[in-house]
Amino acid sequence: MLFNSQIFLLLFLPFVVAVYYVIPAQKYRIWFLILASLSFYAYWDYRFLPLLFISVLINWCASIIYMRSKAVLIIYAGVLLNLIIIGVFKYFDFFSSSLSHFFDYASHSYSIILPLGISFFTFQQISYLIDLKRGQGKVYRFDEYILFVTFFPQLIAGPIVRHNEIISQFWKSPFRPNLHENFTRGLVLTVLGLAKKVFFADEYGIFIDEGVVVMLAEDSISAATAWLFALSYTLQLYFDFSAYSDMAIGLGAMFGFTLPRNFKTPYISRNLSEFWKRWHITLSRFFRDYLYIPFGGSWNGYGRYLVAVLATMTLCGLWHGADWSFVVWGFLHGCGLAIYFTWKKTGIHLPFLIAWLLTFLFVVNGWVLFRLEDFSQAKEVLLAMYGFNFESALFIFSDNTFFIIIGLILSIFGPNNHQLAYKKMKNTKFWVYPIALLLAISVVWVGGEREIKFIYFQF
Amino acid sequence: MSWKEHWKKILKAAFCMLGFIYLFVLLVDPYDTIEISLPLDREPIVSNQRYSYPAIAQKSHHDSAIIGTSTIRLLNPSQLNPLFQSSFVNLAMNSPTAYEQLKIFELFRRTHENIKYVIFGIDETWCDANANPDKFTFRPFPPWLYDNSEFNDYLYLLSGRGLENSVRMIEYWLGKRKAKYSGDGYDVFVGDDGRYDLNKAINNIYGNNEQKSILEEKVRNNDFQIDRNAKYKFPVQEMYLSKMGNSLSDETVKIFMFVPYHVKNYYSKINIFEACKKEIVDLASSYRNSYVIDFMFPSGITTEDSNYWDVLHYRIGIADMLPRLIDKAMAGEIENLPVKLHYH
Repeated sequence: MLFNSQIFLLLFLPFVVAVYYVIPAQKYRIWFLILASLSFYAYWDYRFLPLLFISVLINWCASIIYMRSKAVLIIYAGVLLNLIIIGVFKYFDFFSSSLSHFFDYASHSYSIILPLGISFFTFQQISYLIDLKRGQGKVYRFDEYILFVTFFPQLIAGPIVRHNEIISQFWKSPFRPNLHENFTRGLVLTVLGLAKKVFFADEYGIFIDEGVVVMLAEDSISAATAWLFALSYTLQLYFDFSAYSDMAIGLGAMFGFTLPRNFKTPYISRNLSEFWKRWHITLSRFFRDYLYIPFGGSWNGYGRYLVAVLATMTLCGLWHGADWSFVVWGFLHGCGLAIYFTWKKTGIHLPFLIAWLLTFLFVVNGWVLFRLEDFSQAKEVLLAMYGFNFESALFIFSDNTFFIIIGLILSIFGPNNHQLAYKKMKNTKFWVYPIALLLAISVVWVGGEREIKFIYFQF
Repeated sequence: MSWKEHWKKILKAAFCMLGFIYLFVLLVDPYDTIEISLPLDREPIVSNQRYSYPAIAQKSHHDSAIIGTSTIRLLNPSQLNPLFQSSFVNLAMNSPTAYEQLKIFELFRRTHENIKYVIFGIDETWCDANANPDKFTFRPFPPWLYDNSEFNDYLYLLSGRGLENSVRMIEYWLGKRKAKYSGDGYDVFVGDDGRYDLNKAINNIYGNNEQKSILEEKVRNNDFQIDRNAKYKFPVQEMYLSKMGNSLSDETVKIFMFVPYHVKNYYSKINIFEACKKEIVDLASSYRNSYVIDFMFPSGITTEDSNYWDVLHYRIGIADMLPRLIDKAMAGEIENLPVKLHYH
């Protein structure tokens, strides 16, 4: 079920939170959360529950066998198996159609359905196995391990949590000092995330979906249309994914757990390296620790650095989706990072405004590839952005100019939800009614036929 | 205030606000669907017909219905009523799928006894050879307004759309908003006929003058020959249309009406449409009291560009001619008229 659905907000969540706090012992609370998380996953599509369960079981068994035998082969086999699972479910059709294209033979699409959250739960487990090999992990009890992978706030779209930052928390009773403060801040972060999804991300999404169809049907796209499209999608993607992360972290806090932050106002970044420290932080650190550094990082010469950064970011692109446009998007970000790395060596500092603008424009241009279905569409829009068609923008976009400006101001200069919930909010009356109103209106708003998924569910 | 009080107050306040909003929506009942709402006069105030028409289909005291897409929406009940001594409601919607047509029909049938006439507008929707036609369009469709249960209406009314439309209904009651549709469902959705622009219409129909010439040349050369042996299946008829026909009593007159598409559209799929006509005749022949009336062929109506806004939509003057032509066709008086009777 969606976080932004009435069944989740009015039934599932109140029930799970209430029962969790009524259960007298932590070990039973853990099993209750496992049951709740598996039910949450099964509600999407119960057919994928065995896949999730088998994936957890195999990885857990691999950890036991490895720790007993110390045979590195077990780790390699485990990682390979995870890659095979994600390869079959997420990339099989992509590779098959790409091969058929290159070798010019007719391919057959198997239309394999992508199990929700596969990219996230597979990567969490890969990181665990690698940590074991590095001597940075230990064997966990089955209940600890399965909850680490399936804990419902982060199961579908992250944050990608590491075993050593969450599993020890499972054993901490929620009835500890600051219980009520933690719970309140978690609740407020969840409400702010929900409101951001409902009143910003979804509203951008509605006019973008309609606008893209009309825009691509135009004989010639005006620069204004192309820019307004690119900016509005830039905002939609950030508001959507960061809203999900806010809700995941907030929900975790309501159970007494601290999940890692995933966003820190990314569009304020002055360079791409900073951007990736602010955008989807838990994915960035995964690629940094398990690919970029093993590839050589920046400590083994410039050539090795180039290979490391380009390979890492290209794979990061592929992680986002089984499509060449994601691969190219990742590669371009790799190039951008390499350019920044090279520039940094000159010791010349660009003024803040220029550095920010260049970074922001690079990111915005990249999102065009992210959103559109193929290269020809992306090329058309990118060319239009820098073209000489100065006609006015399509009304679908121009009607929303003010909304886009508001979104830009909020996403670049405004406090993010994490700052609001954890730094600005005080336990005063001033905060009660606005938060309550946001919660009530958001719950109403998501009712009926409106069911808009989070963008990152497709990844 | 302690943190414990803080979260409790947030949840209490949110709960009260939610309750207030819910009560407001239930009392206003913007779709006129539940029993406990305020006993006030309600008119359709939602422009999406999928939300507005269930109340029209369910609560109207009409004994006859028109089912179809925008290609039959201009059929005026007030012109049909005196000719057929009945009371029609036009439940045709903009771009409904076959499934959506079935749903609005079922709602009407379930809530009306002794139905006298049903006119089914037959167009591309029913001449679709796709084995898995889409059930819905991109337009939101509320299945809960079409079922037998009032219980789920209470659940679904708690929504942003429900709240928005409740405010609209309040505006209607305050005289600040007009009803979107009349009680018989009739609505002139095409442009103002006084501002009709033939050049624009030709552009809509052909794309450009060159295409018009190409089509005229092909017609002159007799390029559009009907292949009587062409075989097509239309699963959608079996899935939904026959379901509608089967549910009507023998006494109900069932009129399957091929709509007057502009010939450009007819020619583009001539063999499909002609095969479709055969299938519809087969279907109609399995019912008593059924007619297959055809406006979809080159005629004085369909070959004249100035009768159309685009290939699908004729002008109001043509729409006003249709009731009498249907009446004549049913009586078999079709000589020299732009209508055919394929089955009775």
